[in-house]
Amino acid sequence: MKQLACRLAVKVIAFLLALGTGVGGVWASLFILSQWDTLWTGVGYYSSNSCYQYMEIRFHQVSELARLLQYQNWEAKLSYLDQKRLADLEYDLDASRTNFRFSIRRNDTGALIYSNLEDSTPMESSVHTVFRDSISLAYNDGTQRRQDYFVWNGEKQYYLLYVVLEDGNEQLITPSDAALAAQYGYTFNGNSWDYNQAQDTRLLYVELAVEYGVASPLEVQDDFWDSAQDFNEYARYLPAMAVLTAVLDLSCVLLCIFLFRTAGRRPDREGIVLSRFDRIPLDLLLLLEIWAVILLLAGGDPMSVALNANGPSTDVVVGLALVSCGIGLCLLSSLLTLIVRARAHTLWSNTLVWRLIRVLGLAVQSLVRSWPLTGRTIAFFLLYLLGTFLTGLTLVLIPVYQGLVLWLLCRWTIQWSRVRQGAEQILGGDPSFKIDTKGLYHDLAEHARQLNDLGDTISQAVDQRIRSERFRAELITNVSHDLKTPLTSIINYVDLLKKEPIDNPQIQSYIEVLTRKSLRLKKLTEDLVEASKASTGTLSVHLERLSMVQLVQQALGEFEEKFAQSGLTPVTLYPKEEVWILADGHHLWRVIDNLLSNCNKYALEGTRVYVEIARQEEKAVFSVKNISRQQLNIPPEQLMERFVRGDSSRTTDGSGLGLSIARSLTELQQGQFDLSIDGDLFKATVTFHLAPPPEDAQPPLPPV
Amino acid sequence: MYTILICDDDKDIVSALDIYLTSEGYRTVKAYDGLEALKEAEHHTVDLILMDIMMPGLDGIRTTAKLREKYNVPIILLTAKSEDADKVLGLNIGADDYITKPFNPIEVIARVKSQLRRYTSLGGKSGGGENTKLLTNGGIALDDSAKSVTVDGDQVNLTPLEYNILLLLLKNPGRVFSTSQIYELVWNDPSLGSENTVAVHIRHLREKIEIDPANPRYIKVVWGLGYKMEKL
Repeated sequence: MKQLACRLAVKVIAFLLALGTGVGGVWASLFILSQWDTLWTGVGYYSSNSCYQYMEIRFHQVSELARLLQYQNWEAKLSYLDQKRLADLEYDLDASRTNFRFSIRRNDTGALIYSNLEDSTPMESSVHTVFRDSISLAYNDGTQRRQDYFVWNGEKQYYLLYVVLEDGNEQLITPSDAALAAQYGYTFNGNSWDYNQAQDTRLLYVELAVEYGVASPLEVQDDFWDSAQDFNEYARYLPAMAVLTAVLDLSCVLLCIFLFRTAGRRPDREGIVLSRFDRIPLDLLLLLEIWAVILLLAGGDPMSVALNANGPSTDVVVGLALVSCGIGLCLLSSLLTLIVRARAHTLWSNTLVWRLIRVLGLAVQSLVRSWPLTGRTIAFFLLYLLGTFLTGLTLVLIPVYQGLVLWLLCRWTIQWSRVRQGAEQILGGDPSFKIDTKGLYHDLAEHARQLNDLGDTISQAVDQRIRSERFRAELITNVSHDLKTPLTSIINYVDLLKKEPIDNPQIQSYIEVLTRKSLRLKKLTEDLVEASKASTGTLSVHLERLSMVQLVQQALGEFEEKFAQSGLTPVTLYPKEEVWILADGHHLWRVIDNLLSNCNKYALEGTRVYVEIARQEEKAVFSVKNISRQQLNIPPEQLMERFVRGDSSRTTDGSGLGLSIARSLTELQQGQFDLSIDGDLFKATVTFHLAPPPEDAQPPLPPV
Repeated sequence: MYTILICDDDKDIVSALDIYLTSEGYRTVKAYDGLEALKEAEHHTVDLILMDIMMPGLDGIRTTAKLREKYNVPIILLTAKSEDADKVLGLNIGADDYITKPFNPIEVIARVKSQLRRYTSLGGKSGGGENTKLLTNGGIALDDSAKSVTVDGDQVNLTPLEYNILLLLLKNPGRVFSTSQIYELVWNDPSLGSENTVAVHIRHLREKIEIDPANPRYIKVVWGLGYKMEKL
């Protein structure tokens, strides 16, 4: 169904039908409206609008007739033109030429002045309905002047009246002089003067009564007769015409709704499709169509005049149909293209005016952008000064203009802070963050784009780094796995060799070297795997509350004999209260193990090793200090790098990974690992945040 | 005379293990991959299996799972992998112990002995319930009336302090004692909280009763909290 609705042929047919029904409907509606009284009153010709219209015309003729008759009476003689006019009116209003019946009488005496009825026929029996009206006539014979002046005396707060008297003099009349005023037809109503012509003694005055109506039945073929013929004709066809009009109008509306809904849509394509017609610039199109409509209306005007004058003829009807179809075509096509454009959002952008503005705007923009930044700033400042000067001419514009400038500046500031926030986010560890450049000022947008690119580069570098780290860790793990298997054989067979009875002491010493070195190799591979795991963070960490003093005691217990062998004396210094920290006991043991092993390997024989735990503010600090056996000729930062050892300690056993592992493991547990070297004094510190002490009381200890 | 099945794709390792185990008086059966191990396990009455994990074809983990469907002999895994997850997987699948490569031959022998003793003396141990003074955990047996300690049947000589520490831990398996608690309970003196004495004694104790003192099975170090006897 939807497919069908969008098909072009269907649309064209619907368009033509809508046009036809629209034109037909408009004309039919016009006709129905013009005859609305006939349709809706339905009481017959004598109550119809056309009958009233003709009666109105006749009544005017009667009024004129009455005036001429009365003036003839007052002046005894009429002018030549008035005589001719009176004769014409009497001719027109003669009962043999019109169905209009009337009589004129004096309203005060009821004496008959003129009538077109037979002498004895009463008005009531000869017409359908009797209408009655009065005509007032006043006459000044020229000797009397009746010009009056109203004077407003602002100081005295009342109205004054000057009346021109018969002798030409003027007489002042005040409101207190009511009797005098009344003889000139004036009465004071408290505010101003009312004038009643009938009471003005300076005038001749008469009131005439007119009775009139339309003969029933109609006797003469006059305008009443014609319009009655038309009326009866129309009355017969009106119901059918009304239905036809309704059908035409309704179908036109439905077709238009259908056309509007499907406008711009095609069955084979998504979205709104603009036809060639829809691509014509809107202002040009509308101009052309308005021009066309004006031309068509101008052409239609004489045709409708001819229709009114001569009645329908083929030429006129065809001409009017063509004109109205043309107008309908213009209106419907403009409406449709407006809807399509609104849907495609090209209503404004596809106009000549817009294109012109755009071209000019772009030209100005590119011109301004080619200037250096300082030049632009100066140009904008000068423009601002010019604006200030121009708006300064009109006081009202000053706050508007300055407010606008302030708003633009604030907008710039807000956008700039947005860019800065974005830069902070990129630097703060989210390099893939993108600053939204939409709606930014040109320079800021460019800046934001550069920052975005920078972020991209950083995140790519970080990704690559992470990938290569992981790859290296994997490589180290795999290689060490592969190393382990042959190493197992070496260790085992060296051990087997050792058990063989060998007399040669040379061979025994060789085997001793093999044993030592194979064990060293074993330790190296183990350290290698651990170091790579610790530095890439692939180790799992289970943080729990533990006592640092307890752990160091346990560790020192493990090292007691080794220190004794190396001639080292541990000196411990613990705080009085327990030091609780959050750490992974196993990993922290490895850290301290590495540090103490380091002492064991590199400390000068016979010295003391200071092992200290201290509370500093909210932190627990564990430190190991010892005197190095060899001179330490490298900075502490480098000591923590993998495989770096003091040059002179290359020959001793150890992988060079101990401090690196210790640092990685400490950082994995959110601790801090520091080294410092002061001459031969080597100091390592491990810092953790303090944890709150356990709340639960220890269960009672069982006796041994 | 126990029969031990050695399974590893590295022939040198198999023959080295063969030499050690034969010299200890065990009979050995060799296999070089998982399928072979399954075949050998059918043909011979095997008392213990040493199994490598990374092998071509059927790997150690899957072989262990297959073996467990039929046999309940002790299985010790030999592994070059040192990730915790691999060890846990191996133990969950039905292995009894694991040794990481590169291993020390003495340690292998010790673990083999331990597993065999437990495997073969399982029946006898349940009958000895009358001696109320006998405390056992895994291979450790402590006779409080005779003040004697055996590990996997071998007599161990302990100092009185070591003995008392072991007694305390054995009486409360699984419970963690801090060094000061142990000091107060064993030395019967108030702890000053700054001695390594307990740690040193426990290390000595571990050296006497553990096969690998660096990776203790019985007396576990709970770093930063204390020590405990692992319930086995």
